[in-house]
Amino acid sequence: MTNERRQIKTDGDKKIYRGLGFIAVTCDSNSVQVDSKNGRILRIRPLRYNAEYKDLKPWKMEARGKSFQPEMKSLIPPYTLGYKNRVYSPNRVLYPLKRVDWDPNGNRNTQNRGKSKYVRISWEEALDIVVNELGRIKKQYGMEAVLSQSDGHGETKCVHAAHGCHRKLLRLMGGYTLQTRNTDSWEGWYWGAKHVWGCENLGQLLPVTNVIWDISNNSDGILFWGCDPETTPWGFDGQLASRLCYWFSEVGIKSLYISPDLNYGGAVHADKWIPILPNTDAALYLAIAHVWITEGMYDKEYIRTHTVGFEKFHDYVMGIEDGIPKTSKWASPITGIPSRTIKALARYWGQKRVSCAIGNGGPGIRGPYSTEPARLQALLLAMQGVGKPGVHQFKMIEWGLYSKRETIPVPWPKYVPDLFSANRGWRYTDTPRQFIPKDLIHEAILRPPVTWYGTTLSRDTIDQQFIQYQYPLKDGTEVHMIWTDSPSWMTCWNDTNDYVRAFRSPKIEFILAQHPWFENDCQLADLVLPSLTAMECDDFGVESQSGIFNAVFPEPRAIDPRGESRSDYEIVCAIAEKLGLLEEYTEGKSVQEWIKIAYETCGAAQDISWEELQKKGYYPIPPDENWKENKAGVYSFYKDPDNNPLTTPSGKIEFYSDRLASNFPGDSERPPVPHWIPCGDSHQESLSCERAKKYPFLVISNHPRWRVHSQHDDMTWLREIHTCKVKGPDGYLYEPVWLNPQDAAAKNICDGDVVKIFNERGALLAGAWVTERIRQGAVYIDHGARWDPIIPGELDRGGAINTITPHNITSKNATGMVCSGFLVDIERCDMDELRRKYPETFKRPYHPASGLRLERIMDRDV
Amino acid sequence: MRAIVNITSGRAANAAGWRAKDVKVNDKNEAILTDVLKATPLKDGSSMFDLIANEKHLKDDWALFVDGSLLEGGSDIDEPIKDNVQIHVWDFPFLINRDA
Repeated sequence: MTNERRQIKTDGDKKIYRGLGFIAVTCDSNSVQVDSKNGRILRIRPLRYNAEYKDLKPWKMEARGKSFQPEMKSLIPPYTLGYKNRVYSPNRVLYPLKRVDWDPNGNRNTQNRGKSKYVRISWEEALDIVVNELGRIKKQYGMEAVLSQSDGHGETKCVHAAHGCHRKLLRLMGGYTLQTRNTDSWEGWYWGAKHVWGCENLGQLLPVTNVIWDISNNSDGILFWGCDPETTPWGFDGQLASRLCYWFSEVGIKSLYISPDLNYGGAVHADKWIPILPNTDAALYLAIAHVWITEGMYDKEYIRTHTVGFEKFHDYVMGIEDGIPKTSKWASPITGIPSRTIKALARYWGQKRVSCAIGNGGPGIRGPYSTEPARLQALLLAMQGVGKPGVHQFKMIEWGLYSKRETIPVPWPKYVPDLFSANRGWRYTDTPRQFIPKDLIHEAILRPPVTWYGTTLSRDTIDQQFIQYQYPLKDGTEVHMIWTDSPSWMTCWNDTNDYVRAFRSPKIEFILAQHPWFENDCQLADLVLPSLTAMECDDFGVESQSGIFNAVFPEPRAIDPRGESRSDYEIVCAIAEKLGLLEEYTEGKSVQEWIKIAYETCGAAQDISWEELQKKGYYPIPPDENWKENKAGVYSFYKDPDNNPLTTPSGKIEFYSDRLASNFPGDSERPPVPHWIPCGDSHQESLSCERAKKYPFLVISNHPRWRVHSQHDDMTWLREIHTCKVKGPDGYLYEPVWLNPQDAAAKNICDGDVVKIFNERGALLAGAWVTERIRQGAVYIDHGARWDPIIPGELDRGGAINTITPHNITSKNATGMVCSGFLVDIERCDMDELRRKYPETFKRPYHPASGLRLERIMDRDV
Repeated sequence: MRAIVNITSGRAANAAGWRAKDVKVNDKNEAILTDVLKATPLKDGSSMFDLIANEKHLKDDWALFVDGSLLEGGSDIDEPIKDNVQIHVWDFPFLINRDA
């Protein structure tokens, strides 16, 4: 690939460089150049890493007589490229807004949340309401009656941190109840595979140092298991994963995609697609193990020296434990994969050097009992000697997570810049004594008391999984106020129709939201404060996840704040000032001083002066010259397990977990040896369950193609793409649902029809995309589409699939979220009837290009 | 009085042999931080207090987050704390382990 750069003229009067990813925490990617003119953004384009550093060279790896090196420009996704759509969205909140029928001194009308209109109020009035409510709540209930929702993804910022600025203020006021963010997108690994091979903190194989180079040299094939390297990495890492998939094919590595949908990665790169029924992967893994055991096709010596408990796994697979041999014929009707295909896959994997690629999708994350397929993938990799050259697990996303180089599978940078010290938002050490896991919020509000295991925080270790907690604490209080700066429960969490009921409870006296756009949970808030976007504030940023270069940026604003918006940090500063806590809250430092601290502590100060950095606008951290010296993956464990133990109790890979057996005796939903669990006390979501007679389709819902979770649903440039939105006869752009042609025909549904997806938890509308890219019996819909309720808590027009996802956690002792691999039915909508029945909904101000508009919720013109 | 002690740094983890522990401190609803650290066991039979504290202060090369509030090295640890407190033990000054 060429390193020559094309000169592009800038006709703007201002040019800045910055990161523009959407992780929210202080790691980033998707670095850009932003040109603006006369105070408006002209365009956003990729950063040329060598624009100011002519001699800069990227890393280069060689394999099988070929070489690969990244281009010298950032590989940004379409929603970064088109982000000015988002900045200038007609749905921006530009002034403080109050719900018209919420009176803090009278009737609060909590039952009208989601239905009420809003009025514009002044900042002074808004801040007075917040300060008075905080004071009242503190006096009446104590500060732990304030629930902080301040996690999740969003624009990446540092000093003006998108999430969690208010936590410190609440601490200064005496405490709060924290919503802890369960490890969404990592559930099965965190709650399952950690018990197999340790690999703290996530339970995915670690380290992954140099595994892509090693795979390039030594693997015959890669199993892309439920992951989509052409989609999921975009918002977090950019598109280097895509380039690497082409590279794998170039050096002769076979790519096998195992998923219910032929996802975008599979459509481009797959040598073979194995369409499996959603969330039946545990059965497939077991059948593969059965073939290997029967045909002697696994590494027996490795099992003897590197693992414990294999005999118990053997007994389950062979049917000695339960009388059911897990043969390919047994697995075939469960998975929907022909027996011969299962055998062929098993023999290919058993006879070749094969690695597994994952990436925040598929069975190891958000399905019911996701611990089981995640554990089984780890065990099957162990049966093939994981750690030996060519046999690894690796991720196509989150390279540089937690600022650790061992999470980067491509050649290392010299270091990973870190903004821990300057970040004014949340830290993972923030946990207060009373907290509620995010996936239990509705349960905690509506049906307390609630108990569970673990803080559920991703950085917390496996020991936490055996500590039991409860809400409310014996000497605590229930929550009566919610303060959210990441208002996206509706589109991203579990059974969110039940969240609507929780937030309409009279127990919740005040909901305060701060957000740049009036979307999703804002519609349930009593007061909405206008946050600005990353383009509108001075900050400091890093690139640390792209896999190309790491970089640091002094990030001057591209434009001034729109309307009366302020940064999340500035909003909390204003509240702190009214409370007389500003000095303590800011530690006496200005924003510019915090930006300087970010520079001084990020690691780059050793390489470049502050003055030079400001002059050049960014600093790319060069690759580590010695990257080739690092061993690939867990090679050291493979070579010498006794002296390089894993973090499991035995130091080895555990086919049987003594720790699970002793802490949770009798837990049939996460037994010591992983099982195929079609139904249990927590979930009845498989086709073999009784519910399947009524709801015969399995939904798969992964990270979205055209959004980052709930972000970017208003991108004009993307909404016209057919796989982004399907235009209904009413002109509304509906969220696409993928349907197999045979299933569609059976339901009398045609491509482009508006359909209703439903189960006993509610219903939503979607636009049918009839395609062979989804297997029969399954339907696919992205999560994160904007919630546009017809009847809040019952029926949604926006296509927010999470409104009807399962209620319960991963399994009774594993506090993960479940929002994929569940049962629904689907039917064609009679649009005329809907219009007659819900005339108000169909009259709301709306524009197909950008979707929902702010006017729809205004009681009078702003 | 119950405290949850989490260990972030490798030094403390090596000394303790665990990364998170539910520590029973006393039969009351509150204690002082010193009592929690003294009740937190390490592998060799000593306590977390012995490792990271002097008589009334945190040693200079350690930091604690107590319910999210930072106590830097040298801080007073004679502070009252409530039941169910969450404590994170850290190296100080904060070192980002760039070599993992």
